[in-house]
Amino acid sequence: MAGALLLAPGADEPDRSADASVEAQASGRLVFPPDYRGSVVVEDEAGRSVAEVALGQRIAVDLPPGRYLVRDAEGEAIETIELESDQVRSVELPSDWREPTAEAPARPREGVASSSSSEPAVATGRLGPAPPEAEQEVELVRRRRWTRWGAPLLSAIIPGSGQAINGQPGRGLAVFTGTVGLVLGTVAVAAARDPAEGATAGDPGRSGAQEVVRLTGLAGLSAAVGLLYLGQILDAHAQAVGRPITPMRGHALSLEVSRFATVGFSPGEPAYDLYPDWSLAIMGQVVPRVTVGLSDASIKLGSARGTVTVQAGARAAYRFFERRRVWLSAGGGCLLQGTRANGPAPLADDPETAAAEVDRAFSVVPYAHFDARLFLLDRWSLGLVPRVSVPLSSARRFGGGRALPRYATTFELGAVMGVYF
Amino acid sequence: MRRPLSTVLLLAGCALGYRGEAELLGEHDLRDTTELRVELPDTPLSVEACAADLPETCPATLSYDGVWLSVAGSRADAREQAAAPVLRFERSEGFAILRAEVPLSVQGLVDLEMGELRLPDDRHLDLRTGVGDVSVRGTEASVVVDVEVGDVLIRGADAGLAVRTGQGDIDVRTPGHAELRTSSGNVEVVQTGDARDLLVHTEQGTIVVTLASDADVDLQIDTRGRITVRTPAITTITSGHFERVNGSGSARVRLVSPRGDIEVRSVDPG
Repeated sequence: MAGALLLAPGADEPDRSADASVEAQASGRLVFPPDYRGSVVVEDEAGRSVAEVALGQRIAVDLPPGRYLVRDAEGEAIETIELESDQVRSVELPSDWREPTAEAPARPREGVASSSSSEPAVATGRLGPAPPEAEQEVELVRRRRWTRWGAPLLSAIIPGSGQAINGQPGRGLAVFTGTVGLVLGTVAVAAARDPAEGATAGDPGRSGAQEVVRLTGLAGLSAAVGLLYLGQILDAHAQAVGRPITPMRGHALSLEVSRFATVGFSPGEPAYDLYPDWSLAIMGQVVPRVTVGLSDASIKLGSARGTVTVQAGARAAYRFFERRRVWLSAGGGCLLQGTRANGPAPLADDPETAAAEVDRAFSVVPYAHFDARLFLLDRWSLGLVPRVSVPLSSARRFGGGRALPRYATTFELGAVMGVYF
Repeated sequence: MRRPLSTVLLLAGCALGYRGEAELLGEHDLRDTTELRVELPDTPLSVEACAADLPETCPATLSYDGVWLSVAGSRADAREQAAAPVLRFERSEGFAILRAEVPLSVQGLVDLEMGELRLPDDRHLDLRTGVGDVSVRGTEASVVVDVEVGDVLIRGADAGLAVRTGQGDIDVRTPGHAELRTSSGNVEVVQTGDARDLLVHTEQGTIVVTLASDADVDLQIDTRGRITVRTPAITTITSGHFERVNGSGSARVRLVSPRGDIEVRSVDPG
């Protein structure tokens, strides 16, 4: 709920004149309510400590606009705060930071220096001068609980709107224009296809290079649209919750949806085509950093003779880098495909003729991959996964009757969304 | 500059392999066959009919040539896969069908490019394909064409004509009745014999019709575009709906194009 707060200078306010490093350029204010105990450190985006705060009284810290991280005395991240110009933000800490009451004593925090109300509140950093009386009534921006689900829901309907609801209109506008631009670009590139290509005998169609560039652009743009759309929904939730993201390193399972795509050659005209492959994976973390599981699960329908392909595989990966919100891993797997197609239909005017036997094929596609993930929430990540594969035994099937032949070395780019449990 | 570009393309994805091809030739007996259906995957179809009453120059056979194109991961596979599919000709009493049989192992890896199909002009024709232009010349029997994407050109089809194309222009010169439909494309029709029934429908495109005669015609035109009729007995420029019955109106002409102009002329300009 948005409300109004009268910042009255008085006993709660630190003695500004006592700090010689006060700078007049500060234009935003972080307010630590008096009902917390312990001490925290405020860091700016560069990781520099800009304020050390002993809690216990209301503390106001004036800072330039920017993104700040609140850490406890052990250096563990507690809260990320966006501070805008002329804005006062109340810092809300987890409930175990609250001062204990007779009914509900707070859990003592290890390593946190206690601060009793008798101790003077300490705030060091760049404190601005006290605002004039007339300007002391300012809007207090509080995180509203409903935005935790409302902001991502709105972003799912109108990209960027969740960010706007979270009090970040500039970010929301950037997301909206970016998404719309990418969607229009994708549609324009897709519409540049000539549906009649190959219809006329002897027509060489558009040049191979032109078509490869168009298809590559289509693959890249469509992947970017998907990632940006999903990313901004997750971001809206992250901003509404407003605490730092800590990837779930100790997860047991992850569920992944991926879309791999490659530009491959096709027989006749058009001479090239886009081969997309949507699939699901369930991965388990068997030991820290090592994941194995069922992967590449999907069903593909062909365009002729009722062709159906069932696909699944196994994958293993090792996470060799994990810093902050980024994970990098590498591994390999094997994708298996079983395909079934009806035999040729009997002669139309002779229904008595028995239908031909069902046709079946089996394909094995081993691959190696590199996986780069960015966590947008503790449990949710988006990633890019380039991989190289080679179909063995028979052609690898894609949707719509497309196929890549056996032994055709294939470089694919995957866009992946993962959720961790 | 080249290296970053090729790296980007590589990361974006590509598949490497070889192309192959195998020629095909076919000749099938059409004696006792009155109707032939040609049902093939995406390919242009071109039919040249010869005079059936001159058997010394026009045998009662269907003959054709073409090529199967393939992609594969190795040169040997490319050659082998191009040779895997076949065209199968089947007959049942007076009906015959020519269709492709593509084994599952090469489905999606081969493409057919038909050359010219030659047959006598008195066999009724039913031509079906996916993406491919269709052209029929010299047929006196009826012709049915059903194509998903492709232009259609017909010269003949004296016994009647039906054309449907999902996307493509239709160009017809026929003395027979005709029913022509395209979802997107221009239609041009010239009636070369007596006045006959004609139905033309295009969702998006212009229609230009040259009638054999307007003396005994029931003419109905619907379009949001411009209607122009210039025949000996009818002259108008309008839009929306136009209808006129001359004589007993025994030749019904229906022309519909929601988003295109329609022009009607006459072989005899009067």
